[in-house]
Amino acid sequence: MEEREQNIRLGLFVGGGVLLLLAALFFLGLSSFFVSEEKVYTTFSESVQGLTEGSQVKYRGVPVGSVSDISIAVDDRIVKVEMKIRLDNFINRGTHEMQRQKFADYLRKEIGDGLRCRMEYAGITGMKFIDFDYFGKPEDAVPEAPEGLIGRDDLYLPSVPSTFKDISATLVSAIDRLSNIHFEEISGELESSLQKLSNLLSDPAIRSTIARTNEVVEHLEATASSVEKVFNEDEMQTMRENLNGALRSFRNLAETLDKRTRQIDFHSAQDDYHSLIVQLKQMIDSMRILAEYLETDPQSVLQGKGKQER
Amino acid sequence: MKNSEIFLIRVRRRLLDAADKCVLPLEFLGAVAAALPSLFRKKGLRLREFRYYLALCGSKSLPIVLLISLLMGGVLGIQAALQLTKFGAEIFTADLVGFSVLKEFGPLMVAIILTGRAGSAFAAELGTMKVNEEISALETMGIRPVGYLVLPKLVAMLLAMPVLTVFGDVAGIFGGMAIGVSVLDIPFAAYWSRTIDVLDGITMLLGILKSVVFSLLITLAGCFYGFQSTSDAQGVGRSATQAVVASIFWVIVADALLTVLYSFIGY
Amino acid sequence: MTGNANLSSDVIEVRDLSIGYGKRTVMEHLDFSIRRGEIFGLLGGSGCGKSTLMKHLIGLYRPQKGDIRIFGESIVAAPPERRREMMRRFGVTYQGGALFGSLTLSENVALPLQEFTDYPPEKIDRIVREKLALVDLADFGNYMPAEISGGMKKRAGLARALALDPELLFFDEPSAGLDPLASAALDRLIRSLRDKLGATVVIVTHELDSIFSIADRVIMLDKSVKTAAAIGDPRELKEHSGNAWVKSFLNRDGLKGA
Repeated sequence: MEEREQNIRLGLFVGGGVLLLLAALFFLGLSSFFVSEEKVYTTFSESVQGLTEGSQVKYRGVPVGSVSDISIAVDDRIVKVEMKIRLDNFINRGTHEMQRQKFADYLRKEIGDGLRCRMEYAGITGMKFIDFDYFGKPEDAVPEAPEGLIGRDDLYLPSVPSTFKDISATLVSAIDRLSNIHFEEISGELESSLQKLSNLLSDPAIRSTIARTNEVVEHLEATASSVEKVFNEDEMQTMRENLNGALRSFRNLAETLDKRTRQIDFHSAQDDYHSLIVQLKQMIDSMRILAEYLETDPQSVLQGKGKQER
Repeated sequence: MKNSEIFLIRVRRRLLDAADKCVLPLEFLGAVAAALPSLFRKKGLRLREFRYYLALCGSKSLPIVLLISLLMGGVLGIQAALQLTKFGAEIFTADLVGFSVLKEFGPLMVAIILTGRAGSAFAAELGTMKVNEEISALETMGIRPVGYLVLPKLVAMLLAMPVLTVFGDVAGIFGGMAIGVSVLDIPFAAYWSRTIDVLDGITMLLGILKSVVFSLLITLAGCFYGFQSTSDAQGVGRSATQAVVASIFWVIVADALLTVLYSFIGY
Repeated sequence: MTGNANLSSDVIEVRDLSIGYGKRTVMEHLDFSIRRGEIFGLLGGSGCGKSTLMKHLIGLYRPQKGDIRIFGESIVAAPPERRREMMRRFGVTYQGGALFGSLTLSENVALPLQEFTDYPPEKIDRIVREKLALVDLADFGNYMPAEISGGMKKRAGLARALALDPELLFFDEPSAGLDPLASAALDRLIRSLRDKLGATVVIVTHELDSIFSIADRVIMLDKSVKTAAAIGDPRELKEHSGNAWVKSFLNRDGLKGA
């Protein structure tokens, strides 16, 4: 019965191998043969840098499918993205046809309730995924699909601009405003006032203000460079230039203050000047917090977790 | 005769010898190909031999394949992790291990193990048969030795290697996973979902296709050098060595070619 | 001395044959015939090419020049497929038996039957037992070749050579590596087989005892002149050959002539 034993062993070997192969193939995505999927389309008017075929699609954080195709409409530079959604994540019963019908109904209803999609960063590598969530409000009008890009029976899910786009726009305008503050003027005024009331400058509050100002400058510089590492969009270019402008103004202010302080050695106390300087200090403090935050976690700002007003 | 003429004659002889050396493998390949139709005849495949070689190359090689692949996966995992932690991207260990194992290391490790186990055994066996005049005996019985001796080995290898590669692939991925979970503290579920997320069946099947090609090369190299063996004990040893060197060489060359070819179709 | 009785036809005819390895010629201008039913010896010192000559006769090697006709048909000119068919009419016993190490003795003997006949397994079994009994190995059918002695291997090889009832039997050094008793027994076996089966036997040997006890005729290959020095009855040649080398070779005892 030696032969029988050998046959059993060989049978185990070959049969086990084939079963293992089937199991592996099943887990590695050939399972899609057995899973019903539905295509959902969306369009983006912004750059889809970082989005590739195979990128994940999530519904409120739950992975429900992947990007299956990305194409560009040459007339208006709109990017059309095709996504495959696994229906089992939504509706578990019935035949594929029923699942499909139910999913289409569900999706249309949810779009009415404000369901939209947008691109999100998936990690530090710059890869993106598409997030489905209720970014719109139920009372919003549902945007129409761009003319001729989406078939009549295809499911179309409108997109909203990515937080990346949002935040960079806000940041740019904020920094614009920041750079419009005429630090030179402020420092000029300060200078003339200080010349009259220079005894005030021995106040310790001023010394600490100067120190903080320097700190802010350092942090902002670090922020600029780490922001540079992560993004290379045009908007970021502008933002960086603005940031650098702001930094230069800050540095001038700081230097002037520093110079003045060194020159003046007599004492005087005036309440209104004191309060001015305290305000300046507060402003600089909040700038510093923003700068620190940006430096340690630039990406969180772009994903909308950070509050730029902090 | 002038020196130059002697030189030319020598060059000519060398060239003819070299041409002979090139023709021999072709002749062998042709003989194997010509014997293939006999597989479909009654009694075409000698089941007993087939079973023997399937056990030798297949089930008996399984433990060593599992062990080596597991270790290889672990080593890949550690190396990947060392680099990826610098970027805080440990989870990509799953990608790196998974793809390296499915695309390269699974088929390659199995090929190298079977070169050692089967390729050299084939060469030594045929060499010994030559010493014992068993091959002449076959011929005088009117049996074609190439078909009779090579086909059971070839069919067994063609079946055993892909199966072993499946086992090796899975073992390699688990080796990487063991490292990822134990050393890098990546949660098992995260590593697992990352692995099945990024890997795809086509990649695995293409890797297994590689192993089919490798099995052909190993068997042919082993048998070719076995038949080329001179009829003495040292000749048998030499032919086994040549078989191992040649089959590893051709496996690597084929691997490079296939990798380039796969890159054309995007894998 | 029965060989000369039925001379009706020559089983093997060799015409102006040159043999060698690669470009090197070992023997040339060989002309001889082997008659039906005789025991014919290929005799010579070692390295003279007698084994090589045998391999030419059985079609394994291609001659450099000349022709070999077996049963009236040229084995040199025959296409490979036809040559293989002709080979099936031979039984060849090699020096070490050349048994297949992975098969038992019975399976070794059964192999040619399984390959070339459509006999049912029971009939093959019966033939195998018969052939093994013929060579005194009836009880060893289930042994592996590695488990038996050299002499038994040779006999098993002979049983396998006999499986298809060949008309022509070739022996390569049947007594090499055997003690004198076993060697003499094998010689007796060869002769009894010839008498029983009426086959023609060609023996390659340098063993003078065998030659004198069983060979009807011999061809003596002289390495120094690269051709046959004599053809004929060994006992006559021993006494009356005009060739000095032949005479000294045949008059020496045992192996020393090599």
